[in-house]
Amino acid sequence: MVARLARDRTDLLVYAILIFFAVLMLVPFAVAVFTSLKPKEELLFSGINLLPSNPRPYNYVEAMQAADWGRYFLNSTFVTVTCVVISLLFNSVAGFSFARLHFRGRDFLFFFMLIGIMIPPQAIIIPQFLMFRAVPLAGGNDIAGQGGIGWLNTYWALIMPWLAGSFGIFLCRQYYINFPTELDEAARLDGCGPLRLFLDIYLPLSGPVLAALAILKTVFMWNDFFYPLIMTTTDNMRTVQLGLQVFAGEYMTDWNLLMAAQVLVTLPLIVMFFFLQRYFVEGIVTTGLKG
Amino acid sequence: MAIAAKRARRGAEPGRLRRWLGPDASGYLLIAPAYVTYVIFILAPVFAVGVLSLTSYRLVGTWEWIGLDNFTSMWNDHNYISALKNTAVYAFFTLMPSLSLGLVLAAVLTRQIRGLSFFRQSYYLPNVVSTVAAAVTWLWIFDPGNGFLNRILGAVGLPRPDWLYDPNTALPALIVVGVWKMLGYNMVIYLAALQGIPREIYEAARVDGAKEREAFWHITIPLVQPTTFFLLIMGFINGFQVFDQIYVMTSGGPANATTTLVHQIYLNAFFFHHLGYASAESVFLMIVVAFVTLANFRYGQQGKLMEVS
Repeated sequence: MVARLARDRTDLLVYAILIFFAVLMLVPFAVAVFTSLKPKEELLFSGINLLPSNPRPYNYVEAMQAADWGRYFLNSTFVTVTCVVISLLFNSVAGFSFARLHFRGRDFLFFFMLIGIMIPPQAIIIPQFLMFRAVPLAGGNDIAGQGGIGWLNTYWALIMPWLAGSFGIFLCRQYYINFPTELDEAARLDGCGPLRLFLDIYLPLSGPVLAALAILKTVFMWNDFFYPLIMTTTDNMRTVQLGLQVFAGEYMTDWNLLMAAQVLVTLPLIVMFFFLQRYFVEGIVTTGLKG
Repeated sequence: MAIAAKRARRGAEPGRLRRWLGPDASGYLLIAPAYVTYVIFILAPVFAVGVLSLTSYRLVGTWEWIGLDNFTSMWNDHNYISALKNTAVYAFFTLMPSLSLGLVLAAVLTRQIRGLSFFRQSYYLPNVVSTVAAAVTWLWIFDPGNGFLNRILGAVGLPRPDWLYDPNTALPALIVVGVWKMLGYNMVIYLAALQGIPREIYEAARVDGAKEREAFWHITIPLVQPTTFFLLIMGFINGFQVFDQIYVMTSGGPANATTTLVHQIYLNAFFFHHLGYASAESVFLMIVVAFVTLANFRYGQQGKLMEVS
């Protein structure tokens, strides 16, 4: 009886702790969503008034009309989808080659590429900026890459550097290397070349690693702020994160509109998180890395 | 490049070349798209930033080689010293609570808990939100006049700080946001590590009369030590690269109280156009991060992953 009581008491304590932290984690979401539904005058009500007393969903329409949000969402979607699709292809085929094919210098090339994992993206932004600015015959540049803005303010600058990644290749290679060699030998006897081997045998087996990579890359691309901040200056090239930051500067006191925009920018990833939760968790656990 | 040249030179004898390249010479073509992207957009800029750091290059006008002058002036630049201090404080104080709380929460969640997935989701959710979106939300929560936090503090009769507008509270406020974002990530990784510990160990300890708290100190903590090491390294690397949050919430202010290493790079490069100097700052950041990552590869789990292969 005493033991039972003690157990119940620790259980109570355990749930109290868990619920306390869950509330702490979720309060900012509640503040954002409820604020986004308040008419402006309610923002100034005194006391703790978390809930809107007179909900105003029209805030969302107003927020979306206050800036070129359609364009920002289009930009972010295009950049994210392009980079995810192409990088999955490039990374997986490279990872497969490093794991299953035999060619001279393979391991050296692989380890040489791993240097990329150690490089913080912000540390090489200056040469990347100069490079894109100096693309010949683009953006008003002459043949020597002078005089104009090159590929700055274009999708090229937002997409090109993210079409492959050392970490993704590393992950794919570690995945493919665990398959038994008999798998390759059987296929080779049937006359499969390297590309056929990849497309027919390995690609259909790649579900888990590609799902993990796709999620990491989608979150990274959609949420990236620093890169578009440097590479774009015009309104029509802004991504949603950049749009949100500029919006925050212009509508500093219209917290209801700002929260409405914030909720809409965040929503796609939250929805994806709830639907693909299992892969999210598996992804970050097996990779133990983000981006 | 070298391969193409060799192929042209030895074109007359494809048999020998093929043998030299190995049985799957088409492997070069298959790694080419990823490799070219890597060389052009990562590797070349790494070298370029090193070269730029030795110059007085600005976006316009003349420039010259100035050796290591940029590096020496970094240490006399009080903005940079503030940035270094702020970054270290931010990284350390974001890491410690999010690591220890992450482990405790994960340990609690390994008990027979109802609603496990609800709790796991709630803790992880902040990690899905972009830093900009999180920053905008917390900007409102920390608002001195009408923000949620000061409304609560006011209701219970506590003083209402100016938070982001006060040099003494700005950095702590940013750290709160950092912990809020990182906690769930650390918790999920710890949870996976804990699920790998056989239950028998705990049962044996209980039979020997160990209390739950003792088991946590003497079994759990030592056994998840590799995970702790990994999270420490990752958290340190992330903390050292903090920028988005700073840019949106404080712009490094008030009075430089929240400027960070990457914020200094940004300001010097894209605001003052001292690209040479900002490159030196980038090189320093790169060296710090590379050093820490190497430690992870050498002593951490990923190092083991490589050995297995």
